[in-house]
Amino acid sequence: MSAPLDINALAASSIHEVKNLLGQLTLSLEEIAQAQCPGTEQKIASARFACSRVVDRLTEMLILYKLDGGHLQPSIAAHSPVDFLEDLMLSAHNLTAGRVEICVQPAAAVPAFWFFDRDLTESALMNAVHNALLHARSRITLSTEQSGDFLLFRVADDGAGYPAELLQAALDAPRASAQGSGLGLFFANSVAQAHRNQARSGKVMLANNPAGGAVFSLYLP
Amino acid sequence: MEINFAEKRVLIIDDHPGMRSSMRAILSAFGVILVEMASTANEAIRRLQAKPFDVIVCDYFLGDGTDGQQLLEQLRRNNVISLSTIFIMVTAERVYEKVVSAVELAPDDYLIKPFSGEVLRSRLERLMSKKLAFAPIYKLLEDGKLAEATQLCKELTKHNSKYTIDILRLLGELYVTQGKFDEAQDIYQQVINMRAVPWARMGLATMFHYQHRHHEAEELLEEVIDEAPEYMAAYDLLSKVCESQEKNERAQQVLERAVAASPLTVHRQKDMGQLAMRNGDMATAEKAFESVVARGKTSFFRSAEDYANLSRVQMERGKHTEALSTLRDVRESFNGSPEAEFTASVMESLVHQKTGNTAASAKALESALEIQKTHGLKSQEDLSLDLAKACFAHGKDEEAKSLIENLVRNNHDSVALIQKAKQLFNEVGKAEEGNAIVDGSVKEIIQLNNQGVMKAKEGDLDGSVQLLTEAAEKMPGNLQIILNAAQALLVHIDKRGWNEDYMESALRYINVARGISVAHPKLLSVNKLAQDVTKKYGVAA
Repeated sequence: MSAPLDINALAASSIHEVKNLLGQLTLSLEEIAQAQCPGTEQKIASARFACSRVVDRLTEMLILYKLDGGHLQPSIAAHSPVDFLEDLMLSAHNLTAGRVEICVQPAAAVPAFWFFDRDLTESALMNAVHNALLHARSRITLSTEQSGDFLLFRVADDGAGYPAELLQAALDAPRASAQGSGLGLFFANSVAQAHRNQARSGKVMLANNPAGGAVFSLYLP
Repeated sequence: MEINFAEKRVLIIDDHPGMRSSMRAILSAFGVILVEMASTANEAIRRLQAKPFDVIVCDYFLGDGTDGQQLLEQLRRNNVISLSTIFIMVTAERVYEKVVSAVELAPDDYLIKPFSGEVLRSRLERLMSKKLAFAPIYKLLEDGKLAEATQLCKELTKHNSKYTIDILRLLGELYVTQGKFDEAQDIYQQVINMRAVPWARMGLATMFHYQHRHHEAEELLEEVIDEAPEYMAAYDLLSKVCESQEKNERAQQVLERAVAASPLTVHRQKDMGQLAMRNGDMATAEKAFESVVARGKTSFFRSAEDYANLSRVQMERGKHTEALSTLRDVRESFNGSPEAEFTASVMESLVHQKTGNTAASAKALESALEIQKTHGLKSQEDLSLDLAKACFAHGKDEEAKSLIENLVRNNHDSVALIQKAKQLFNEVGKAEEGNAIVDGSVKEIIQLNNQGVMKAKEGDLDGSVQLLTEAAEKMPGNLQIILNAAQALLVHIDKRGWNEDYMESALRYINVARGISVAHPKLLSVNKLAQDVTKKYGVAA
C-alpha cells in the first residue's frame, strides 16, 4: 500500500523547486542584460520585476508555511541600517530601469548599528517596494531613522496613496485584495511582530502622505 | 571607496556547473577578471593552497556531502586562508541564516539566492572597506602581537561605529586565546545586554565551561537549545559540559541529538565515537567511527587516528576481518606514510594476536617498533597504549613499561590516562607492578615539581630554573611541568633582572601550553606574570 499523499509537503517542495528555477531564470536574465542589446533594457527590467515579485511571494509563502501557526523565529544580528537601505535601493533600482527614480533620503539620527533579521526585514520591505513600483508616478523614497526606542524604515511613493479600505483594515489577517497585497501585508506584519526586544515588539503602519502618495513604515524595537 | 576589481582574485566554489558560470558572469559584469572555479571542497582547498585569493564565493550545499560551513571551518582552523580573505556564503535556503548566527567561525557575509549583481558588488565593496578597517588588527595578529591587537580593539570599541559589534566579537576571541576568561566573559555579557545574540550566549557558556562553572553553563545552553534547536554548536558544548561532570551517558545522548540533526559533521562523529566507546556502547561507537572514516576518504583533512579508532572498535566487537580491512585501507589511503604504516602495524599486531596468529602479530609489532625508532613518531595516547599492549603480548615487557612510563610522565594529571594505564597492566596480570610504576611516575613528576618550586622559595632561583627547564625539555607534553618552568624563568627575571633568553623560553613554553589546552587554570596566572614582568622592565612584548 502506498503512503497517503501529503499534499502540504508536496506543495512546499513544489514551491521550493519553482523558487529555485526562478532563481536560475533571474541569473539568465542577468546574462542577457550583460549583452546590452539596444532597446531591451526596459523589457529586461520588467522581466526582472516579474521574477522578483514571484520569488518574493514564494519566499513569503514558504516562510509562512514553515511557520504553520507558530511564531516566526528571527535570526537577530547587528547590521548597519544605512548599508541595509543601500542594498535595498540597489535591488529596487534593478527592477525599474529608470522608469521610476529610487532614492534614499538621508537622515541625521540613524544609529551606527541595530539588531534585526536582515533577510526577513528585506523581504518585508521588498514587498512594500513592489507595491510602490506598481503605483509610483515617478519616485520612490526609502529612509531610515531612529524613532524613540525603535528603528524606523520607510518606503514612500508619489502615487495615489492607499485606498481608504486598506488603511482601515486590520493587519493581522491575510485578506484578498485587488492588488494582491493581502499576503504581503500579513507577512510584513508577522516579520514586525517577530522582532521583540524586552517588552517591545515591532509594528507596521500604513499611511497616506498629505502631499500625496503611500507611506509604508516598519518599526523594529 | 573605489575598488579595482580587476586586481582581485576570486574563487567560486559550487558543485553546479551552471551556477558557477552564472556567478562568473555576474562578477565579470563589474570588472572581476581573475576568477578560478572549484566544484568540490577538495578542489577548493588545492587551489587555495596553491595561491592566495582575495575573495571566496562559496555555495552552502556542495553536493558531495560537505557543506560550505564545514569547508570554511577547515580553511580557517588549518590557516589555509588568512584573516583578510573575504569569504561569502551563498545559499538558496533561509536555513543557513540560523546556522550562521551560532557558529564560532562565521563567514564574512552570506547572500540568499537569487540576488542581483549589484547587490553582490555592493556587499563586496563594503566587506573590502571593512577588511581595510580591520587591517591594522590583522597585521598585529599575524605578527603574533596578541596584547597589542587586544589594546587596539579596546580603543576601537570606545566609539560607536557599524563595526562595533564585530570588534567586540573579535575582542572576546582574543581574550579567550590569551586565557583571560573574566575579560572575555565581560565582553559577551556586554553584547548580551544589548541583545542576546546566539554567538554571545555561546561565548558566555564557553567561558562558564572553562571556569568550571558547570551549572551556569548547562543552564544557559539548555536555554539556547530550547529557543533554537538548530544551533549545533550548543549541543557540542553541552556534551562537553556533561562530560566534565562525568555525566557521560547524558553527554552521549546530547551528542546523539546533534548527530541525528546533522550527521555529516566529522568532528562531532569523532567525539561521539570516543564517548560511546568510553560508555561501552560499541555498536554506536563503530557506527560513528565508520562514518568518520567514510567522510575522511574524500576529505583533505583526515587522520590515521580515525582508522585506528575504527579498527579498535571492530576488534572489540570481534569483527577481526573488518578490522584488518580497515587497516589495509589506512595504508592505501595515506600512500603508506610512516604514520599510517605505524598505525596499521600496531593495530594489526593486536588483531592477529587475538585471532591466534602469533607469528603475524610478532612481525607487525617488529615493524611498528622499527618505524617508531626510525621516524621518532610522536603517537597519540591510545595508540601508544596499544603498542604497549602488543609489546606485553610478545614478552617485550621492558619496552611496554617504558612506553607507559613515558606516557604517564607527560600526562601525570590526566585521570583518564592513568586509569587506562593501570587497566592495561591489570589485563596482562601485572596489576601490582603496574600500579607501582604508574603511581611511581606520577609521584616522580610531582616531586620534581615540588623540588623546583621549593628551590625557588628558598631563593635558589638558578637551581629552580635548571631543574624545571630540564624537566620541561624531557616532558614537552606535560602542561604542569612546562608552565612551572615558564614560571621559574619569569620569577628569575623578576627578581634577578631582565634576561632576554629566559623571556624567550618562558613565552615559548606558554605558547606550547596554550596549544595543549587554552583553559588550564595555571596558564592564566603564568601569562599574567609574563605581562607584569614585561611591564616592569618597560620592554615592548
